[in-house]
Amino acid sequence: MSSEDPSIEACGLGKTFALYDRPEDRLKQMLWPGRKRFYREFVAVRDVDLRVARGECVGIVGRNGSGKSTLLKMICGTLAPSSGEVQLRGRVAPILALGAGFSPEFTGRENVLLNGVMLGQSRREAIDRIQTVIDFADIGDFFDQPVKRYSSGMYSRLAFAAAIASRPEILVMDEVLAVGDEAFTRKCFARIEEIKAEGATILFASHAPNLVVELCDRAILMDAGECLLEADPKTVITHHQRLLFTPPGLDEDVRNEIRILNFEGDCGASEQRADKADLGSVPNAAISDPVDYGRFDPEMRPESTVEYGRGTAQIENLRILTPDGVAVNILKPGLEYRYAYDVLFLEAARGVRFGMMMRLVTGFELGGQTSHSPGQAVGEIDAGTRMQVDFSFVANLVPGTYFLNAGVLALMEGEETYLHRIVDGAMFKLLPTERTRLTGQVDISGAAEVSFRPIPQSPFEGQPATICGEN
Amino acid sequence: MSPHNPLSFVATGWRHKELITQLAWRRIETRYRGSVFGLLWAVFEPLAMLAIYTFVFSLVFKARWGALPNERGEFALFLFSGLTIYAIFSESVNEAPQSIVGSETFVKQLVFPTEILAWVSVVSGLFKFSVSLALLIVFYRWTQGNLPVTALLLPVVILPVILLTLGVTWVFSSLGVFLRDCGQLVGLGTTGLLFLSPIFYPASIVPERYRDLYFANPLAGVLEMSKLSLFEGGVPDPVEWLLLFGVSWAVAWAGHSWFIGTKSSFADVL
Repeated sequence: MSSEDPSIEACGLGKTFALYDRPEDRLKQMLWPGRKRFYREFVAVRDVDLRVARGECVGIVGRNGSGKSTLLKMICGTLAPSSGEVQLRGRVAPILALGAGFSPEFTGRENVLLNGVMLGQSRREAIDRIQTVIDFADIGDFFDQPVKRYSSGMYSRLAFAAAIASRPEILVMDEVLAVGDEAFTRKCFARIEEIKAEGATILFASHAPNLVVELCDRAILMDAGECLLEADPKTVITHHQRLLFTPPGLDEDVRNEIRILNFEGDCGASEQRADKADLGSVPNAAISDPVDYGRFDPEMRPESTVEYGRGTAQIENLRILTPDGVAVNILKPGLEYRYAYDVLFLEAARGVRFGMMMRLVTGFELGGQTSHSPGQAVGEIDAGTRMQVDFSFVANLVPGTYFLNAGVLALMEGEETYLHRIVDGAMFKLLPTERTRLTGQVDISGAAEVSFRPIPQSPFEGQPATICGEN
Repeated sequence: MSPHNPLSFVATGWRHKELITQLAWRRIETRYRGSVFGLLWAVFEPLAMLAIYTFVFSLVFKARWGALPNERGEFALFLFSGLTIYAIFSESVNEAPQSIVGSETFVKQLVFPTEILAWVSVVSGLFKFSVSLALLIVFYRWTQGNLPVTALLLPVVILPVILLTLGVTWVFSSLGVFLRDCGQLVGLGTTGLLFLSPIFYPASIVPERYRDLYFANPLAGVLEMSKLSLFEGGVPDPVEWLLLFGVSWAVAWAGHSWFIGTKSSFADVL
């Protein structure tokens, strides 16, 4: 087995379901495979070629019934292909449904152990891994309760934790990432990135465009059983959305266009959209006098927090404050807040800078700031000093959940290193408002103005259409 | 090893022995989970049956096992031993038509070797068999005295039953996916075989001219041998036993081949 060989190799893979009106017809067909046909045919997947290299992450998107799940099942081996063949190189961990094989009467622990054995681990290995599952699922005493007493959230936490606990070489997932609350989704995401970093091959189907864009190296668009497009995730998502909004009658035309793109291999080059033109007037003055800055929900805490550093400084008390200094974590769009934390220096430090980063649920780094630019760090800080760091930011964001990092950098032996860093140390939510026209992640409506004018024939005359910032 | 190799079903069972024991144990536990007496029921059930048989057949019917007297409940013990062995076969086969249909998630959502489900029902059947056998030994000692040494042969003597059970379970668990009528058919079949096997009477009282036909049922031979070794201190004829063993192995092999041949369509049907 050479490392150059792809982990997943599918050739001309197709699946035709025979639809029988009565179950015994199928038996008749099996016993007398002659001229007479007792069934109607339904093509679920048609002639798909797929190669996924070792360590690559590929996403499959497509509308409901486009054949994603069928394709994944054939790749995992739970469904026999009607044509073509699949070759897998490595131990595959299929997560086709969460909690498959769990018995409601048994406790979380018993189910996880048996699940491990069913996924091909020995009982010893399954017992060794159980702590990982307990930590990941984080459902407390419920772990030793029958799973029938679980809330659906707890159930999916446990199921995902059990499924992800093994160290698979090939991870195949079907729509299982969007489970639980956002803090847990973030945690799942972090774990998948970890699996990816360990060099595993990942293939998954998803409806969530963000996930595909941020996790995948490559994506595939399935429609009506056909692999329409194989390209970079962004392009594929764009065309997926285009298909989603195609009226029923025009499907075939759009499919043809995409097929041509796929054939030419230059897809996604012209993605200018004019339909976002109607941005209307945006109120830029303060509207009503007692501004509502949101509230604080003590239950909302990030679960994906990771800390590291030299241990010579300690970041603590991460918080988001209104201009009046009230702590909040449910924010209102468009308002200004302060993100603050305290740093206690346990040892003297030199060349200190403070930083922050805002991340999405998917781990995408949305934006960050540092207190000083690299050349202008704080010279000397004595041991025992406590400092408060404040970053102000305007919540020009789209409603959703956001995570915040904090970090203290200092010069150690001539190199800038983290004295302490907390990833996903704080989180906040932005509630939806009546201004729901926003898409993506950042509210660009306050910062950008859109205008249109015809482009003159000669490139030397006049200015092209402008999209200019106002700041 | 090709799945159609005559040894492959044993190899599969051995490879998945851990999973089979886990699943068999879960099956046993599921039955008693949540009840106050829990696993004690596994002992109570056969105990109660043994008591009832003794009362009905020794005190009410005063039934006799062929020419043997029935003074201290011999009949009930003979009957109980036969039923216990037959239960390995009948319980697994009765569950067979539902075993794949009822494990839909195993078929469709897990990469799971469904052929081991037959092993799972046989192993859980053997667990119950062991409990009943232990009770039988205790009762026998209490009422009749020690069992003959040849009783130690019993685990070997019943090997053909295990093979037959596997084979028939494979066939009906596969057929059950395509034909829902299997449940009824199998129920009828196992009840019929119960009376057509030497369980309630010795084979010696079957009329001579039906005897060959009667022993076409391999269970009949095994049940006779089991009584011989368990109670009468005789050693079964090795040639006869080997013949039964061979036939049973062929049934298991054929059943396994049939199952493997049809299993790729399970996911399409369920």
